[in-house]
Amino acid sequence: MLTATTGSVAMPGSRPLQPLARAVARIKGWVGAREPTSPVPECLAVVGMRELDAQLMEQLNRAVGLSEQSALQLIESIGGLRGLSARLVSYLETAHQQSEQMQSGIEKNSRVVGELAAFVQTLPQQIAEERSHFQQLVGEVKGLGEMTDTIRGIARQTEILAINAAIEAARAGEAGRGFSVLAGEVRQLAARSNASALKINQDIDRLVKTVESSHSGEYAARIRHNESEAERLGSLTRELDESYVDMRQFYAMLMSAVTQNNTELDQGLGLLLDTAQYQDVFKQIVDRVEPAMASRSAVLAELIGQLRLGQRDTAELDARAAALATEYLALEAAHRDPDAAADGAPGSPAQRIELF
Amino acid sequence: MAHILLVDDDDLLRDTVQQLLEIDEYRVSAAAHGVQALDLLQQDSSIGLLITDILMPGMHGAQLIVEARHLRPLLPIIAISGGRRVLSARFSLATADLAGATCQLPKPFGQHELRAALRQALAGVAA
Repeated sequence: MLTATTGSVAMPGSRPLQPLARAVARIKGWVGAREPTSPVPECLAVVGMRELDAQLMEQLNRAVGLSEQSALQLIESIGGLRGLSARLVSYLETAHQQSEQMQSGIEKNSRVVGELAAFVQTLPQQIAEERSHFQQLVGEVKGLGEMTDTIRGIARQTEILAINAAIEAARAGEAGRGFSVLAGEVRQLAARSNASALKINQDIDRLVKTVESSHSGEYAARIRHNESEAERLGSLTRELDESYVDMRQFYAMLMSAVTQNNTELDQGLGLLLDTAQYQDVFKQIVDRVEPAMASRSAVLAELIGQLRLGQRDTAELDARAAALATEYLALEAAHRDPDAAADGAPGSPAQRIELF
Repeated sequence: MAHILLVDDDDLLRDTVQQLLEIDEYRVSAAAHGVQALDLLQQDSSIGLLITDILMPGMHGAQLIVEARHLRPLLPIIAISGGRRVLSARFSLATADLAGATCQLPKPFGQHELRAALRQALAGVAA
């Protein structure tokens, strides 16, 4: 873990990798303290080991620099990711408020739809009442037709009576009684005609009132209400259509924006993972330092042993100590540029990063 | 002056904004929808700024911004929106921001606001 390795990189703004840097500085001081200060001729093995120490220090410094740089990149990347996620959270909050507004609109429309459904349910009964009303009107009209038949009958009889009157008039000289009978009949017909005419007038009045009542009062109010409800229904249908289009666009826009943000988050996380590989590089450097240090310790132990025994000839150990630095350098070169190392050429400074 | 691509499905508003931009001597290409705008953006490399409405039928403005960003990652983009009966301008412009718009301009706006938005969008290019 980053924090386990460095101890202080997790807090943005702090100086990262201080414990490790301090440790390297201590080793440097230790190496520096062993630089020759006495006039006694130096043992060649010690010179070789100093050369190795210098190489090891260089690599450790490289590892520290690498980890410091990577940690700073990690902090920067994490800051970027935090910014992206904060933007997303803020946006989702706005989207949530928008969806609540839409939900409120839908609930309102649902209530209106309920009212309109109740209105539509009353229509069959209203239509039945209308039908009954018109059937009554038709009955009235049929009654007028019957009256017309009566008047026609009267007209026919009056015509016959007129003919008969003409005939009787011709005979007037002989007998005037026939006229009095005819006159009686004509009077009755006149009375019936008068009654029928009166009845027709009354029926027409009633019919007119029935028609007038059809277009006034409660019935007219109901018609106006129905017209208003029909308009409201039309308007609501248009609103529902617009709401549906808006809702589709809401989700399409939400998906576009969130997908875009997630793509950026994904790229940021990829960068973070790439940067986090420094730990592997660091480990590889330390892994190569470790056996070199062990070999150095072994040579040093043997050298001390020889010197204790008073053996002044350290040529073999001198050679081994000198080889330590050479071997270590070759190992580093092979790691940095394995192809060149295979050809025996010196390694390039290019960084070789091994993926997890 | 920058060559501006102006996208809005509202003919009247598009014509009005185009005239405002042309008064300031910008060269303006206009599109009525996102697909037409993307075609223009692909064909004409001289386009240096995109002004787009967000709530449009078919390809909406946020999608256009995402696609435009893929084509031209550094293109300054001004998102404009007045919202609709259901979708608010605030949500539309927040979506545009997340999609990658450089700045947002709520409708209705005047020449002063438009000029300020242009300055803000083009400041990044100059820097």
